[in-house]
Amino acid sequence: MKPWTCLALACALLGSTNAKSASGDRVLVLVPKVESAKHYSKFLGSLETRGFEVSIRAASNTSVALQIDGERAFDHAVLLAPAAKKFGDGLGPLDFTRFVDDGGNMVVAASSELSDFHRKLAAQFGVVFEPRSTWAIDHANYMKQNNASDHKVVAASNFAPAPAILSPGFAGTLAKNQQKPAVYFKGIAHKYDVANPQLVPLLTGAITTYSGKDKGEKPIENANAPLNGKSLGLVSVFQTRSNARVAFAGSTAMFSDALLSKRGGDNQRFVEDVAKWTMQEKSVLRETGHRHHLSETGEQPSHYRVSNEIVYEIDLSVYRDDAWHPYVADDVQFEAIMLDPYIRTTLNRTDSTLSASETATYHGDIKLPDRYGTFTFRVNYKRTGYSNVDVKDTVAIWPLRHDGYPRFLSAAYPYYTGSFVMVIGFLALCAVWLFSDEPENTEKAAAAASKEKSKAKNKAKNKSS
Amino acid sequence: MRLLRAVFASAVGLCVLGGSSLAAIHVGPVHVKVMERTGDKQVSQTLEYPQKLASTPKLTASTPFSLAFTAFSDASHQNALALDQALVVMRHASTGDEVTLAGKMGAHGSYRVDVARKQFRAQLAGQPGKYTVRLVLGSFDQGALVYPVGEVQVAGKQARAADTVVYGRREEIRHRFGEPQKMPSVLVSLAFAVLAAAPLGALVAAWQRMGVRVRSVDGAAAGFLALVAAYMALAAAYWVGVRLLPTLAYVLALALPTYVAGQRALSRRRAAKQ
Amino acid sequence: MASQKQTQTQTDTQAVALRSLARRYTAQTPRRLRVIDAYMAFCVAVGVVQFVYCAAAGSFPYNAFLAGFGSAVACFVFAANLRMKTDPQNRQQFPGSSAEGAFGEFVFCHVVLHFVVANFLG
Repeated sequence: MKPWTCLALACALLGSTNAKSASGDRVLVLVPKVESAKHYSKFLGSLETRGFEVSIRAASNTSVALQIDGERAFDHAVLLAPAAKKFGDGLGPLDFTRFVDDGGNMVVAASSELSDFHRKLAAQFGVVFEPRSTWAIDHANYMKQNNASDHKVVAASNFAPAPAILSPGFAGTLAKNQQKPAVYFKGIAHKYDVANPQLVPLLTGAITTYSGKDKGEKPIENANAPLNGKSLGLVSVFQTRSNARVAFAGSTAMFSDALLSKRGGDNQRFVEDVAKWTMQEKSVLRETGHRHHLSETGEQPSHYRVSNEIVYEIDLSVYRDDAWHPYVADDVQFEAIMLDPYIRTTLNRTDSTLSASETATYHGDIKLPDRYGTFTFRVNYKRTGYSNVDVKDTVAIWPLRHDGYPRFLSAAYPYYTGSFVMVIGFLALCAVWLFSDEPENTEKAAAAASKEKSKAKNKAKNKSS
Repeated sequence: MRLLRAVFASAVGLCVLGGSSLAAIHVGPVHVKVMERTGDKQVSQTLEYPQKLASTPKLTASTPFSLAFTAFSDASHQNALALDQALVVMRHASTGDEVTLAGKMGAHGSYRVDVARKQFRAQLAGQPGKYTVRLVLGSFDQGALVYPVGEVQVAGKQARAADTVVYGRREEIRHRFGEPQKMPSVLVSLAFAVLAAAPLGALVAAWQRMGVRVRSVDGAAAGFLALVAAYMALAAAYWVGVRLLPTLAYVLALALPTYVAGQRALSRRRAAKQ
Repeated sequence: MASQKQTQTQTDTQAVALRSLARRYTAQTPRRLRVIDAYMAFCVAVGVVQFVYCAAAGSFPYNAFLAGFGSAVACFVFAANLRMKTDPQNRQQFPGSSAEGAFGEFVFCHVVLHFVVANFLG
């Protein structure tokens, strides 16, 4: 029986178990020839035992299609044919980037004999592989063999501090007397884009690791120093904005049975970590709900007023070990933005929701700014290795109502009194005018009346009569 | 001497990895030079492995830095070794960023690393600070040797950090609310309120002195006054409650009676006057 | 000594002049007008108190100040109008109007004014 039929059988046996991936279980594995899959039987077997539906295809198989009727035909792609110039029926690098754009995940393994296809594909993600037939070499840290030692099999142990991607043995601090984990890597090095936080250099070189030609070959004539040390990438992973994941490993050999089972090396664990992360089996973050309301009434109005006190809540869960769990962190931050962020505050976890549910709720008591306008409430949670969570709400903040301003201030008492006194004075004048006698009728006034006045009065009387 | 060197070698053993004692790289004296612009040597030291630089030389664009050495395949420094890897790695003490300089092979198996102005500007000047300098030598046959030569201080101007997104917790921002208005003490306000009310008393007193007396109260005039007072009360109620529509309704309701009462009261007065 | 005496006599004459002015005012002005005059003085006093308070304690509830002070000023202006129209000496100037009509206008203006003030007072 041929090995791939074995795998197919195993697949059929395990078909009933659910895949552990949060996104899907169809894996396309592309190898130079179908027979060469047997070199990776441990790696591919582990995928199957984890419940993936693995389809192994030769690179030249023209029936390979990433899309069928505009739909993704696979959820994950594993490229183990670094020398292939194209895949399937003329699938180019752009077809694979489109696959990733559509949400597909991809593991790309390279080697010293790397085709332009792979270079172009990697360049899309900020990974630039070294020239052909160069190797990652380390004269100090290499796989120790009984007889012949190959300095091209680098024992790499510079792991990125990414606990979301790597298991504690790699990313965490080592216990005393614990041997530093090492991953055997035989292949090509790459430069990685330092400025892009989406790209994580998971495994980099030691100070003695450099990129160069093999023993006996003519070294590259170059005035510049070779790629080495920290800037020499061996395995880098990328997460797109849409949370698709891509891993670039400069070595197909590190996935092979030969290196996977090597004593003294941690390839088994490392490769599993990379595959699990890339195929969305861990550190998948999602927001299951969010809301905001006035603290006083608990209602969400159509718009807020300036300086309102509100409560913002968001539910987060993380996928690992085949289930959604509450996501526990202390750095979930809320922002209220109008062009610039006016408020950025860390949300607290609401403990009560943790026990039974699969989500953790984070809340914050927020006093809105005393500015009105259209604000965006945003939780933009991007952490190395975790899926991006970016939740935005557009919220209108209105100025105070005309009667919402503070009133009856002590500072204005004199003005209130003044106004009332004027009202009373006016009423008093009215009363005096209406009820007191005509001054002409009183003796006093009569005595005081001048000739002119009586004249004027007469005139008026004449006129009116 | 050799014993001493072995002791030293084991002291820095962490750096020297791989390669048995038989196949190892042995490095000859390392000449370190830092030149002043004038041509004087700021530092000129010859180091015997694993000796370190005595001082921390300061590197600027105008003070070239050079390092020359020869590697040997034997401890007695007889056979010069052609290296597969001859690098000087400068690692920034605080950021951990590395700058790698390649050694150029010269005559008789000697190697030389020069930091000229151009290279300095391109690779070092943008990130000033203290750097540790390591000689990293490697050979397929002889293994590797890492020789920490010492430290240098790089002068320059910190390049402006590119506008890159960095994941992780970001600095909190608190909104600064407008400060509450300053208000005088309540007692002052109350005192002025009393002062503002005082003229009312003075007015009444003045009228009394003038001999104003309410003599005739006729019904029409009283009704008119009551309606005007009602308007005033309505204004006060509007001030307290700020409800425009009910107030407007009352204003309209009161308009006609007030007009009629006013007409009657005033025309009666006028008639009486005549 | 002489100058003191002189000033004494000067103030005396000033006092005499004021007194005679006051007497003439009380004697010749109808009481109805004097009532209005007192009312106008009252308006000025209320306005001045508010203005002094605003100058001393700050103009923070500025709308309230505008309302209170404006109320005093407007009342003064209305009273001045009423006085002009009811002064028998000015009768020729306002041939078409009667004292009662002027009073009616006065009341109407006040009603409007006090609603405006109540709106602005805050």
